[in-house]
Amino acid sequence: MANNIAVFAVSYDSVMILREFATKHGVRYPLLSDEGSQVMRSLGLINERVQEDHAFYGIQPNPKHVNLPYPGVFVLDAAGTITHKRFHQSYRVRDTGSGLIAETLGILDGAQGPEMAANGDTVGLRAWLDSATYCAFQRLRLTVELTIAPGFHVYAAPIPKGYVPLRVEVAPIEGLELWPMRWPSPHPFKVEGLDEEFRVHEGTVRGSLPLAFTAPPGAGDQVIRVTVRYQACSSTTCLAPAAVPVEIPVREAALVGRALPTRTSGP
Amino acid sequence: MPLPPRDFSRIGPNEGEYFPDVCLPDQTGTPVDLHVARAGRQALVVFHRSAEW
Repeated sequence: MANNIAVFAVSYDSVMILREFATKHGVRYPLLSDEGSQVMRSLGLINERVQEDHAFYGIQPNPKHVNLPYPGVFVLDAAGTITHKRFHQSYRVRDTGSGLIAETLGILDGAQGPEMAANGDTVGLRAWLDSATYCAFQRLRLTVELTIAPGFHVYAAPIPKGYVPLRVEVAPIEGLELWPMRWPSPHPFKVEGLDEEFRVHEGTVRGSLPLAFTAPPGAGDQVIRVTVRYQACSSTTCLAPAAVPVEIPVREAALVGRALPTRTSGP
Repeated sequence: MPLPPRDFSRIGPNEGEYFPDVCLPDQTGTPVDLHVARAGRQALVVFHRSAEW
């Protein structure tokens, strides 16, 4: 964790429970005890529909399931102003720490997981995950970076018929959930002699794709198979459309304090 | 059928607002004033269900 970021975690647990947890897992940042949930309630974070939702999913009523907050994160700037908040519909979905920091604070942008490269003459390609491991429902971030030779560009969608826009395809894996890929805004580009308007990327382009494995824990290590499609052109020439495969392995990790179930199948 | 989605932008204080003053005991029992403990740094404030279950 970068030194210039303060981290606080708040729950309704007693100081004693938090002390045990911090000791067991070596937690150094403050775990704040909001026993009775009054602060979380005053902030408007309490999920009043837990029982109702649990009934919907067939979960038995449990006295511990009252006064629970929606799980989520606030990101504050140096002045204490909220710059981002992240709350998820499902309590199981959570961002990786590095992904959250990279996206909201714009730092720690390097690969935390294995990095794969495929270098062509005109377009260099790198892809990496923000974590070498995943937990079920944890939201990882796949970054795809193209380095385009000077004088060349790749097309972005939307695009006139017959041209190939920059696109990332991920081979389906059971339980793999994908969010929309985000690219920086392309800029308009006119080809001399053509009426059509194009939108292109030039230089170094980095796209980000959030994903999560939603199969129950024990699904095992995975390989994310990505195909990056693009067509690189200059003002005078167009190269053949490319489809570059990249494989990114990611290992399954157990949730904190819990062992992975024994695997019955899988790699 | 899944539950209807909720508007999560309406949960808690809004982006652009000063995060409210919060003072709570930490795992050692020491009261922590969040903005004082931040000491001018950026911060992540995480709300989670329970460290026990």
